[in-house]
Amino acid sequence: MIGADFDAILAAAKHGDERAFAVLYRELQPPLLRYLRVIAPAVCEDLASETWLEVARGLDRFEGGEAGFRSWVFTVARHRMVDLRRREARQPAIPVPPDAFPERSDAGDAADAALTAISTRAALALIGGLPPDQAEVVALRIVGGLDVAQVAAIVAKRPGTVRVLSHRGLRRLAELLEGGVHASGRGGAVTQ
Amino acid sequence: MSDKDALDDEMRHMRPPSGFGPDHLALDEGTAERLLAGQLHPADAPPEYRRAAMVLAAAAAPPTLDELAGEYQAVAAFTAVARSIPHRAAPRRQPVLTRFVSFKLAAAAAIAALSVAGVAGAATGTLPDPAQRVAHQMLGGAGVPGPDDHAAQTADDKSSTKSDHSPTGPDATGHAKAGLCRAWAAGQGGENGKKLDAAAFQALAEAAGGADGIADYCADVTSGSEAHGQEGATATPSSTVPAAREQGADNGQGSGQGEGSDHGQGTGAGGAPADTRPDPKH
Repeated sequence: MIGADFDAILAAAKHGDERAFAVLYRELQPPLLRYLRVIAPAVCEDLASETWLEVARGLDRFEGGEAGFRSWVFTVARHRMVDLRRREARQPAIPVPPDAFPERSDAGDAADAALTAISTRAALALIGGLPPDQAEVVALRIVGGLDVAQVAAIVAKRPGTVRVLSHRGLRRLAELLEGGVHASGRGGAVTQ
Repeated sequence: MSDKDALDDEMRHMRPPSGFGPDHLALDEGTAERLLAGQLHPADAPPEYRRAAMVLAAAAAPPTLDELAGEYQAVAAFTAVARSIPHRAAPRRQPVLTRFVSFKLAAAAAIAALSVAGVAGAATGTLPDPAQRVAHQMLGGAGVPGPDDHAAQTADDKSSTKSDHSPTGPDATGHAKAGLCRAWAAGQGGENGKKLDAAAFQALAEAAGGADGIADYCADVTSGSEAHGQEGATATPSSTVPAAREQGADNGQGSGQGEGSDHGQGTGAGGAPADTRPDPKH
């Protein structure tokens, strides 16, 4: 959050102040890139660049506060992604390999301890492995820092739908992680 | 009877040892919302959701420097756009920004201690690459070029006054077009990706309506040119004066935005298609 200075920074950026634009970029690029890495990992950096170009072009027509700006940037990014998908007609989904989660084979508390070291990349890959509509709303909420109403506006769904999708995503994630650990637990019992 | 017992026994083994009911992953609305809002520490999450909470926390971890690696290019693109819009052409400094650059001044002092060239060297892009990279990362918003951008920056400085270090490529729709196109063609298949990062090629991509459109945009310049490599190596933009007068004419035929290329324009919410921008002539 930029906070109380946001309005002044936005005004400066609208007048072409590149340092003000850099402040906006530093605030939003990391979550933006992470969101795109979940929904379109192969092209996330290109999409982020395209998004910032669109933002630069449309900046002086944007009206609103920081939350609105955040929503707008993610909306632009999502439209770039939808455009790309349309252009590419059929892009094969990229399945997340089961070993994207390095600590899966560990069991019990040891795994919990190791999990604290899970990288952001691995975490995003795991979220990206959820069904696409679930992955997107979970990413927008978690890395975008957006609330249900904002996410609903961005993905053009009703708030109730967003809530259900994100809860399903959460549950699926828990199942995924649990499954990995129990599989190895049973394996351990056999060897004993 | 015994079959059923065996089945129950089997199911008990398959079920996680948590001792929960049939749906051990049931989660109440409030807890789910707190997890999704990042308000629940993994240690406080229900045991079945502790790992998921850790994943969510890792996904929302503080930003890393590599995630900001594209800042220079993004700011350069912003500057190019701002210059094409008359009322944004004169940057107005806001006093409130000083607090955001104060940490940069501290960083500058640290860099000065490391290098006799000091910040002046960093600002003109003459530090060794690692130091320049640090200077760029710390001072990026203040217009310090990255180590890969020396060429574009010095080419810029040659023919323009050195009063402005703002990171932007030459105007690729004007006199610089031929040189940029040759340089771009010379790098094709080689370091193309890297070259496209440079501000000069960003300007070219901008003029061409996207990186995909460069080949078409440059077709009239690069076709028939045999000695790509040599010309590319010595190509220097002949003029960096923004060709505002030419832009109107060039946009009509030269850039052909959204026409032959598959780079869709202006479909985003913030889409500002080139044709809706104010005419630079006014």
